[in-house]
Amino acid sequence: MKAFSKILFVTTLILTFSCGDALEPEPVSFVTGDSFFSNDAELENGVLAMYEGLQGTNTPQFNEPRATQIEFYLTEMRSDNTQSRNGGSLDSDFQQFELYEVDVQNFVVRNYYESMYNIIFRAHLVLDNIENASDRRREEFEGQARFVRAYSYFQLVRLFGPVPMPLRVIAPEEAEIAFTRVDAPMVYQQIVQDLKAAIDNLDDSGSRTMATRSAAQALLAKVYLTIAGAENIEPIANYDSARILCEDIINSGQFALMDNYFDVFNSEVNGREDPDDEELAPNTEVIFAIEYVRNNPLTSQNYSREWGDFGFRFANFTTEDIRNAYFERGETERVAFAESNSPGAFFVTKYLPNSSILEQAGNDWIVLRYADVLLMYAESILSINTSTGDLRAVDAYNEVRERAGFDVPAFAFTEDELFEERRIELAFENQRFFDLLRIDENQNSAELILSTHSVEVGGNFARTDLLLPIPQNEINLSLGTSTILEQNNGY
Amino acid sequence: MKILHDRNFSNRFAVPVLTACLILMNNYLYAQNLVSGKVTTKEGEALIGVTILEQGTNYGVITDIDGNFNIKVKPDAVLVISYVGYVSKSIPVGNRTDFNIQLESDVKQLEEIVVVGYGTQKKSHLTGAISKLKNEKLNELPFTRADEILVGQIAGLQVSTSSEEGVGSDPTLRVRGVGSINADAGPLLVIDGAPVDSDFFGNLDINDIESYEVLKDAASAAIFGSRGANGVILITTKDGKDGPTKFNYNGFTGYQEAIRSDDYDLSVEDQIAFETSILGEVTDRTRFKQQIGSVDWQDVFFDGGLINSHSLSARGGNKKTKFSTSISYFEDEGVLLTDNFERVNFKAKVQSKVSDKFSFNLNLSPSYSVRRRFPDATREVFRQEPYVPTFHTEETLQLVDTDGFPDLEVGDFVRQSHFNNFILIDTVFNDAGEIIGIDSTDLGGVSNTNQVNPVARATQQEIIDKRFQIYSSLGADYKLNENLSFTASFTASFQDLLRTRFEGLEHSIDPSDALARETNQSRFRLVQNVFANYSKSFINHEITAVLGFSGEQVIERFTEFESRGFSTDAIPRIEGGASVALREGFERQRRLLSYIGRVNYAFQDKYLASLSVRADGSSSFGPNNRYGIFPAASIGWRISQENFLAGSSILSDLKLRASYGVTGNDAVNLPNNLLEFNAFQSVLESTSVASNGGIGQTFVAANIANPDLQWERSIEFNPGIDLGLFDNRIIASIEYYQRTSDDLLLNVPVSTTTGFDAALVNIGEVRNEGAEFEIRTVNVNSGSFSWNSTLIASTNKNTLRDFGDADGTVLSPDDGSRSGAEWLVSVGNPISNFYGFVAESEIPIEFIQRPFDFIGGQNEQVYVKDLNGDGIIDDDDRTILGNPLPDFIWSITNEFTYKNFDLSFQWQGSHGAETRNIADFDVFGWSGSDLEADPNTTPNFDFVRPKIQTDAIIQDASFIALRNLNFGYTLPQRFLDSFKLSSARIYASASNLLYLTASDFTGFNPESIRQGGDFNAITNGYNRGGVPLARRIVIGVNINF
Repeated sequence: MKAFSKILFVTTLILTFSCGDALEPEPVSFVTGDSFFSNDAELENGVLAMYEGLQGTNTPQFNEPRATQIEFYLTEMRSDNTQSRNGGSLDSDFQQFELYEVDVQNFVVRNYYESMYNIIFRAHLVLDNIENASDRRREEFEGQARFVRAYSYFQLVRLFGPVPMPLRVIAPEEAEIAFTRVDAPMVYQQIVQDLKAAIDNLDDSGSRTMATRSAAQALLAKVYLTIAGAENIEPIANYDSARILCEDIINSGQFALMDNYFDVFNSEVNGREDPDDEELAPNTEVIFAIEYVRNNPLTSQNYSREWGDFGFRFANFTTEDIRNAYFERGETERVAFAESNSPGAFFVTKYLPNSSILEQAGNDWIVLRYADVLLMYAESILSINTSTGDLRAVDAYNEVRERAGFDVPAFAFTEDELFEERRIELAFENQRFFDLLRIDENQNSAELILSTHSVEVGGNFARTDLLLPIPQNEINLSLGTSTILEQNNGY
Repeated sequence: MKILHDRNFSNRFAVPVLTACLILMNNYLYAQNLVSGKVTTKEGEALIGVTILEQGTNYGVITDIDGNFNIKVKPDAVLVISYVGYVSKSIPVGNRTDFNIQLESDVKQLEEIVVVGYGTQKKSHLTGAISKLKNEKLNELPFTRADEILVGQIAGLQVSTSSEEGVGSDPTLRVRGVGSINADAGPLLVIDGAPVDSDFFGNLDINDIESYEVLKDAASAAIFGSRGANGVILITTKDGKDGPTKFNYNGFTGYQEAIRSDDYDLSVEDQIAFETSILGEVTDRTRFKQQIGSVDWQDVFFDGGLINSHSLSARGGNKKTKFSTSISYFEDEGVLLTDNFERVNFKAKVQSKVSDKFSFNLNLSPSYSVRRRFPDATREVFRQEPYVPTFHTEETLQLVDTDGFPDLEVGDFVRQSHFNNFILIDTVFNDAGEIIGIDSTDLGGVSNTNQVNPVARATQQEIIDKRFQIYSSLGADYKLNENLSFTASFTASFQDLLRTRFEGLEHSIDPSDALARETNQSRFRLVQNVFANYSKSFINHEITAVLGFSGEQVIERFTEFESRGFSTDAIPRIEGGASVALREGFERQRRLLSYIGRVNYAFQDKYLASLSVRADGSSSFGPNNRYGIFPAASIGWRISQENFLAGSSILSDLKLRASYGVTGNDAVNLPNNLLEFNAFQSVLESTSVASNGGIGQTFVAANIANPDLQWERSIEFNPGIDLGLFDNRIIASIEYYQRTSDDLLLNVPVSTTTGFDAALVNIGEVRNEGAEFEIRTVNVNSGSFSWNSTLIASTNKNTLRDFGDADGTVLSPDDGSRSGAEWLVSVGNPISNFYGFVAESEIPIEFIQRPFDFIGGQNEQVYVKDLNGDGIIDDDDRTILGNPLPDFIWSITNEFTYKNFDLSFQWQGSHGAETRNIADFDVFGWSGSDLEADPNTTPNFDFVRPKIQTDAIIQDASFIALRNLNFGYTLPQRFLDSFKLSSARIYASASNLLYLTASDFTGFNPESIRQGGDFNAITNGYNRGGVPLARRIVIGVNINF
């Protein structure tokens, strides 16, 4: 018996002490980031993670980054295109946008701000570890990461004005970087640099749901138009830079308008929705889209449901103003709204859920498409003028109108006509607000358009409402540090 | 046998030498007799360690394990036989050489043994704050869970029925307040010496429990190191005893009903009376609703239920082997419409002495429970007005908007919106009572919610937890000699929880929302303990010490699947759906390596000291802080043992003590479960990404790594007094404690430019201080009648002392439609504070828009006070409106016995807490109706705020309850003999027979507080209606045979 008990004790001791790294169990359900991004496969994973960030989380809550899925609140709902079904409300963070009474605590704004910096962080995980890539893949990864970073900063600078601009992964202690707002021209300069690098590093062989050379070109063209039109910095030179980029895309012959307008939104960019579907002809018009796959909570989006009668917030319903614009112009092919269960309200019919589970829609979000490039081309040739009869511009303009069923070609167009064309062609695609920023201030300015619109919906627009507030919690966090983050005027 | 004092070197090696020396030196050499004997109890059980002293000298011996002793004394000597807890005896030796001595237990100082961490201790020698609760008749009370039953039983332990899920769900346990914000604030559960998951409370059979010990102060809990900060509850299960096998059956059966809220009793009839009193007539809308129906939602949803408990045990053994086995079945239907709980328990516990030195023990207790929870929130039920029937009938279909809902049939669930747009047609009479025409009114929208019928929400949704648990341990004791023994044990506790959730076709408006979800969680915990125990008694000194090592490993696996695409409710599981719509999973591990030591010392049974230390290494913390040291020290002085108090007729016991200790808390709660164990390192999680027309996979960073991460630390100082008066007919203890918890694990906000909005750090400080008072009295103890009373009371004051940069933050956790309820983080105040405006006066009904739209509706706004007097109402007029922490909790228990009858009952109360009763928001129609003041006509409209932002819904959460009552009759012996029973008792017991809440409390249960999600310790006290308490009455029998 003694022998037995001794054996027991020895066994116990051995079992107990044998595990040398007893306090460092091997991770099972995760990989530890300290040693990750060390080779091509891991960096490629990092690139995908950026797009996962852009896709945003499909949830009705606001505790996870929603990114693109809530972008319409910050853009379309602040333009003259849409409003909430039941009208604006100061009490609701969803309904403040149309009233131009966005609170500094607004959690939709905060979520978007957070989302963009999270995506930038993911881009920096790739860029900071780029030396671990093989020579063969390094340019591709760098191009991808710089494109995504440029896109994120482009969204931020247009919505918030000067913003903090980390250019690498930063730690919470680095208050100076986190809370110093970099002037808009400096941010634009960085965006241009990133996109130029992306154009150099990328080709057009990849999927249209990731960065390609054409996507970087088209985005850079829009950046130039914005620098010229909205920032009014060296407009003639910047319009011309945009023109060259658009020309390059048009001449590449890779893109064409879809014959049927609604096919643009109903045809998936990659030609099929799930792997089980038979492969269809890909969408020839899309240059860059953010991809979603339906009926899966992790890869789908819910804005398609939110916009309709089945949504929870009844957001992004059409304004009477845009419906009148459709009627006055005699639009037939592009009418993108239908009457709701609630009489008198009309919801958007672009991006209607293509899924059996309504809030798990797979419709891709189109960021850049060929019609946009054609109209940007026209805009770049129009340059600082109020109208143009330049054939290159008019041809591009007519190409878009012709698909919309307007067979009689125009011989010239004014700035107003061009932007009205953009408004209808790109309606509800989150372009309108940013377009308004580019409209010549001497003409039918953004301020005038938004003031008129805001009166119609019971809001209270002021020029300072062109920028959103920096989320208050960021400002609060800066208070204890050496660098105080400043709020935009009017908030 | 052991010789004490100056002959104490007598062990087997030293005896020959020393004996020779002593023979030469000893004065007693001449004329000494060798006297031997045995000391037993009256029942014949051997008493170990009894002191046999020669009167007038310091010379003596103590008895061995079988109660035997040998001593050499002169014939004229007198032996004094003394043992703690027994009446001492003096016996002249004379010429006798063999003594059989029986000691009688001393009622006035019955020596209680208390289980402490990794050992036991005499109660008289305790220097920390430990409460013991023996299971005498607890198992006859109608409680479902082994933790619920502790309500009101232990000073400083707060037990609240807080869950919104219904019967069988876990209550909130707090030992001496809340010392943590983001980490678990509940005590550690230890069963038979091994830490287990607190979920094990839910599956224990109360009948199997011998006693509970609650380690309250840090000095007692520090032996559990990094998990001791919230106190420790030790449960000891029943052992078998030497002797013939004893069988016991205890069973009860009874009924329960919900304790309702009168304020929430809304009815169409009351509304008619209300409207008539103001308008002199009834509105068209209400007249229409009256035609539809009249429902008492509390009747529908609080349907009461049965409760049944059966437990059968067999315990017994012989000198070598003892066993304890039991089997039990418990069923509780709960008081809500769908909740239900069933449990089966088995237990086998065996101890066997292989030799004098070696013994082993085995403990196996599997259990299985099925719990169907209430799947909804009661506040969602009471959003529905009391005219809405559950199902359509021929009559209700006549009132339906047939344009909008052409396909409704008898038996379909009723939805409020079915009755919209009805044209009410009235016959118009003239003064003479003749019909002169008809009058038609389009009522428009009468519904205030789009939701489906609440009965559909509850019954067409099914959430069931099936939990299998097993506690198993194998241990061995090896006794090297009288003083030194070793124990080793392995304890494996395993739990498998399968949660199935089904939302049927009729659960939601859109049938395509039907879904089935299956969540599986398994948790395996292995605890290995190796300990050396040392104990040695001298005449003046008593030392016990433990030194040991403990290793612990937790492996947890979680998976979740959801399927969608249901065309029928026929198969309410994931296999019934068309496609899998969700997959989640994680596996995580935590390891703990601990080195443990403790020394207890008593000098002359008067001066007591205890020192302990535990070093914990945890895999959950950063390499920079992987090990933590948790020391504790305590001292005591038994003044009553001093000569100057000896013989006092008043004071029979008096002990002063003080303790100081450091404990930790490692159970951080984070939304991401993987991070709870791994936040010190950078965690990249796998996720799906839409990619290239399919679903790709990628890794996403989940956190900012913090290699400095460590446990929360609590330091507690606890002086106390134990007092016994009048032969211990009055026993009292008083404790004061001050526990300061710092290095709290908090997810503090960081700039989102880092890519994250928060990072887990150790920051902040909270203090809990308070006093506990416990008094037990024997009021009457005559032959046939006795009356005992127990009073327990405790106070606690909670103060947030440091919160980094976040001091002053206002939190509004429930965003969405109920936003506006705010909490303030404020250093110098309690950890949780309701924040908002102070209501001044109601707005007169004439200014309310559509005041009669909602049956039982009340105005949702109120005039508020301009606190700073600047003439406007803005954010600066907000103030702290209360806090959800009770200041004072108490209970009084009285026990009477008269002949064979006994009666005990306990009153219990809690005072000083407030609750934010958000249920008012739904019940009184503030959601979805226009019970608002008209901004155009209401005077001083700038001073109007929604009640939800004011103290109008901050209500007193105090209560006084007749918590339990037990009336029993023990059958007389002559009756038993004929049935061959050794004892039998029949009883009736009850819980919550009376439950009184504060007059301003409108809800069901002031303790039912929203937990989880965004609601943590700083945003506590949110009452969403919750689950009402159950009033239960059962009858039972308790038979031994």
